[in-house]
Amino acid sequence: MINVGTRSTRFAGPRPARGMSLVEVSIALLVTAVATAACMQAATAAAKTAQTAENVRQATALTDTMMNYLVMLPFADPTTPSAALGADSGESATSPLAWDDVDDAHGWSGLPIEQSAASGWSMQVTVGFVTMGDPLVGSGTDQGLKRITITTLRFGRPLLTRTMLVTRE
Amino acid sequence: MTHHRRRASLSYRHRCRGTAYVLAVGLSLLLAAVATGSLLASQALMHAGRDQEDVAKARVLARSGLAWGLAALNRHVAYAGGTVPSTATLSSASGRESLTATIANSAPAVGVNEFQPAVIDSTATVGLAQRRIVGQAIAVTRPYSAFQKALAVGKVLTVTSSGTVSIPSGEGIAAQLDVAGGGTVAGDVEQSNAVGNTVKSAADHAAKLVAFPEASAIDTLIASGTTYIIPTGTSAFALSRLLASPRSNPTGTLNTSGIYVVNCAGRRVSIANCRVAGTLILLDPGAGSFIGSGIVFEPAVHGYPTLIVRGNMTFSTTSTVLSESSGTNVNFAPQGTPYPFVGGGWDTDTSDTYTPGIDGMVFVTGDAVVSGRLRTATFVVCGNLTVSGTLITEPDPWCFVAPAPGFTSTTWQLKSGSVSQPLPAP
Repeated sequence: MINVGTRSTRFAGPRPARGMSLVEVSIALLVTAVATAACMQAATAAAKTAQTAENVRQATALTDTMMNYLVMLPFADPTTPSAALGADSGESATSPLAWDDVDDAHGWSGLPIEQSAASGWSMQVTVGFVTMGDPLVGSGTDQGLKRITITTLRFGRPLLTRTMLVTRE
Repeated sequence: MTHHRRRASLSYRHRCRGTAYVLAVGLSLLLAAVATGSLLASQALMHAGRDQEDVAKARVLARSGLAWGLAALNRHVAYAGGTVPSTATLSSASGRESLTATIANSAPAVGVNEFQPAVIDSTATVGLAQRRIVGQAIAVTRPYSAFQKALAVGKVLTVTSSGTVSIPSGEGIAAQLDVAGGGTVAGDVEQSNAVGNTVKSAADHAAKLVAFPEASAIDTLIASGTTYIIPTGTSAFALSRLLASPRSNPTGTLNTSGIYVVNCAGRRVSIANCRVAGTLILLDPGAGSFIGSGIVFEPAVHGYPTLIVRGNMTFSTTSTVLSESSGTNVNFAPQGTPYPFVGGGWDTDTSDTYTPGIDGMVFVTGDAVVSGRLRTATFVVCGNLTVSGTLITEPDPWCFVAPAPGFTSTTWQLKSGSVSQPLPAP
């Protein structure tokens, strides 16, 4: 009987609080959730930045390839000299391999060399005359200097622009 | 006992209180550290990529400075001769980009040649990136490519149905525009438009750009020539039964290179039964001027043209020989003017005959017509050429190998192996 009474006395008193309370756990979970969300955002931003950096690296390589190709082309058309920019009569404006002088590329837009449409890469090229006094400024007439501008795009968004001057050599 | 257990329980509860917070904050800090680390790493990667791109842009821009320098050298009149350039400076800026380039003669007192080139120094800045490229430019002089052809026409070559143009196998005809007319062209034709069926050519393909001399190309020879005295007073005059050479000028002083200048000044001139061992320059012949039969021309100096016409000319030459005894007796091969002029013989009689022909370059700045039978070498017509007779021509290799003064073009180009990337100047 004494044992019962003792047991009864023991269960009648306040229950010992072992572990954490519900409030405590709830607040802890909330803090953790907020922190996790913030960290996820940061991680996502980091991943995006890393992807952008990788895209810039790729864009640089693609742009350099095209620029190297263009600067190897003759300054002026070897068969039908013309003051007009762009592909000349009878020449293909769409196929870079058909260009026979550098300004044939003027106004061209298409896929970078050895890239498919699915890759998301595209490219735009403009070629114009510039003044001798300030070659970073365009000119309407041929003063012996042309400026090539290549813009490389990723899914239609400009990512990188490269400019170079060429002359007769 | 009961009190003791309660105290223990309370103590345990006190010890556990806050553990969840500590764990949560700890976990959060760990996540934050990882996220911040990756963010910083990716941003560093991004900045490195941007910096790398700036460096690449600066390098390309600095290379552009060399292109500007070459263009300036090729464009500047004072530089075109490949003589002594002064210093030129470019300073250009746009947005984050700036370009500074200078051209200087490495040794201004002695002029520019392969050993004293012009120096182009280009420095480009993009953002914080800076690149400097230095290159040496040399003036390369080369003959006009038109001189490589047996026949070069600056505009349209018309060969009428009665006309024939013949060149040796393997040589070329260059017409910058069309070849038309329905006649016969036997040779490798380069032209801008399709030959079609009108001309029976051995080959035809798209014309390649051929460099023709500028109008001023003949100025040097004119300046070094001797004026040939011509009859005055009438609207037309004739040159007949004359011998012009470094040792013969019936009208005046001798010219050591045999260069004689006839200033027609718009008057009609006719030339027949003459021998020229030198360079005859006809300035501004009037309408109706022609070169007739009995013509024996050759240059006195290898590579020089033997006939230059500033204007238009008709060649109504024939196969009639040049005879010393026809009409006024003239010895066309006296001492000092052997026939052929180089390595030939001479005599004192006037009984010889000579096969007509022009054994040297003919250069016409305007239009030309060949209505008779003409045999020549390196026929260069800057305007239109109409052939209704027979034109037989072949290239004179000397014209390309050793062109006459003024018959060369100068192009500045980077000296091979001279481009370097030194550190930017402080």
